[in-house]
Amino acid sequence: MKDQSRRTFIKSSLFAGSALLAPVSLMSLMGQQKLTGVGSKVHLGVIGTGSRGIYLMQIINSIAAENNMEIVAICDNYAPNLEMGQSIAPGAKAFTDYRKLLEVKPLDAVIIATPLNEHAHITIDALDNGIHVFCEKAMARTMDDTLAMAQAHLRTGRILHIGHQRLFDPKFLRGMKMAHDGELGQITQIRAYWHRNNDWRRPVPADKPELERQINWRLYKDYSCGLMTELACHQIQVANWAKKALPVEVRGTGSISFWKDGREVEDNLALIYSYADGTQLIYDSMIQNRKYGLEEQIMGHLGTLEPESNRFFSENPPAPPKPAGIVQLIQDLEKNVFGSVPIGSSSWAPEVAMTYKGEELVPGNNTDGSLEQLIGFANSVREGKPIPGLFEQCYYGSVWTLLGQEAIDTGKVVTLSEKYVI
Amino acid sequence: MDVFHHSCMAMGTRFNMVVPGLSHSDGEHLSRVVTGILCSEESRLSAYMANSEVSCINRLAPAMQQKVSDEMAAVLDFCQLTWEQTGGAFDAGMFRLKQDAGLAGDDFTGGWEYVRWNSFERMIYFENSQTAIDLGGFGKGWALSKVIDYLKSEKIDSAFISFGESSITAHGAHPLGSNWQITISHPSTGVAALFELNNQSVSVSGLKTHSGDLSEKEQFHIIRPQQHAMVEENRVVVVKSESPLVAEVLSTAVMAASDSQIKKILKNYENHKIYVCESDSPVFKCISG
Repeated sequence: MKDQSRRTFIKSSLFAGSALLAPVSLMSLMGQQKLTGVGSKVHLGVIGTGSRGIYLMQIINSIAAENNMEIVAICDNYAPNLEMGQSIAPGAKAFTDYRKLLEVKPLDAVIIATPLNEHAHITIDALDNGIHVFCEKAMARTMDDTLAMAQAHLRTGRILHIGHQRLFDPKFLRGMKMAHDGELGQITQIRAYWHRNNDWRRPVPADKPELERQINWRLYKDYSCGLMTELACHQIQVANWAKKALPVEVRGTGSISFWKDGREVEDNLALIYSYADGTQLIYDSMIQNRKYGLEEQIMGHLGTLEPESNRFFSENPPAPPKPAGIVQLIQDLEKNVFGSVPIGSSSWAPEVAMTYKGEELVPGNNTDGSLEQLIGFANSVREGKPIPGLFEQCYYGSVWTLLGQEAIDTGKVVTLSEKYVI
Repeated sequence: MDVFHHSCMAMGTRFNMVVPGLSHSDGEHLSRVVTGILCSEESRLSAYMANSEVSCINRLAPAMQQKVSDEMAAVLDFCQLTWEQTGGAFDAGMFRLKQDAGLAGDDFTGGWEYVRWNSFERMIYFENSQTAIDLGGFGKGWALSKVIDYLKSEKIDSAFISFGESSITAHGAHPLGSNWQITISHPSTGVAALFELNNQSVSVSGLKTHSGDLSEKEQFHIIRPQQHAMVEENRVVVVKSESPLVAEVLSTAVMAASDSQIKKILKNYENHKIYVCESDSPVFKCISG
């Protein structure tokens, strides 16, 4: 198939809700990544040194020497954030205007961790200046901005990584391979949720109340879609990845049901994304109860994947045997016999081999993928080549996140316009 | 009589609960809630789950101060107090050492002494990257306390719980007698002791297993904090207490304690019974008052 007809075929397939190009080669690419002694130095700028930016900078510092990376410039227009950034990268040039940062030489790539509504124009300016970009998710506040970022990436040929770190998390890579190899059977339903119990606010200086929207940007609709773009975006991407397909429609509802403090974004929402094969993604998020935490439950007729917990559960698990002492105790009680229970073992080991709490996807996995993604980004920058299929995953994760918000806002069943298919 | 039995997996081991006099239909709701409690606590406390609060702390606290939840603050308060009262024999800051035995000895500089815990501000910070929290010698006791609180709220007045066969709680009295009786034996020598429990718990720590299915290396899992080394003595320690949590942490601490730490433990935990059976002991010896 020629490139043009292949692209047309993929585009029409995506529009029909199928054939999403999963980055199936990601596992092998990760395996090939050199973790030490890599080639030329990658000079990085960080735009936005708030909590997420600082987290990424800390990771970079921890891997910089082995991976030949250096933070050469930072930028934030909020002084306390910039000061925090300078404490993490004391040798970096500091700016309050990102356009000045883009003029730094040498500068290979920038990491953008600003409020959501700032992502698009900073990303496009960087790409147009020949600078590769790692931009935090979600991509942008609006569909048009999201599309413009994608077009800039395709137009310039510069790398655009979006901060969907699960795409680099070993337990997700293993789980998705199992899903794609059929080990879960036919996936027909995915339940995903993200629950927290806090007001999601950041402290605003008492003498500067005018900074409320700038600091708590996640709570205001001009800046963010709240739970959808800051949390759900990750899980919608994971669902599409598991299905290797896109939804065909979404319906949803949401409310400000608890934190009635002037915020504009929902603190409680629920959506259903439907796929062409009848699969349903049932999603909810709230920030007034944390009991159930965070998970994607990817359910097939042979098993369930819970990648956040690093677990796979077979539909036919072995039954855990009762310890002999418990068997005897039950028999004695049922016969009204009083006796002692022979029990009491050393602290942890004897029962491990007999337990079934699912199977660990990656033994001892203790990463969230951010470190691996930054290494992957640096390698892509060094080679000047994007990872095949990766950007599409992220793009449609953001697109269907915004469509979900539209469903909540309008109360209508929302579908994808062909205009936004890349 | 009716006997309700619930079994599930949690915290890397099997949980068994026997409730005399409870029908299966009445027990179903009970078992669902109890399983939820166990899973919830594991999700909070496990250093092996990437998104647990402990894992988040372990990732971030070496770099900058981290605010913790109210529940985690209570956990850390307990760890701090127990570290002090055991003279450091209970040390919840040794996760990196457990992960990487190659760090043992002088190469290791982590542990609770490098944890800066501000209980008032609920902020935690690690002074170096070799320090990381491990609640492996704590979690089952903490979860059992929660389960007992729930059983009390449901007016369940008699139940027997085995958590991995090493943490055992008798809630209330045996329906056919005043005390529940359990027999614990040394896995290598067969030396056994009878323990009577009524609203009490025992925790058992040791190296060898009854099933004998572990390699020698796998059996070493308790860290001696002061020496940064694994405990290798083939002894069994049993602690009997009204608190499953205190029983849990003390059984681990005594396994790892030096003579001076043992003295401090006996002084600070005088109302708890501590028994030790060495590989050459003919009996379980009570070392507490």
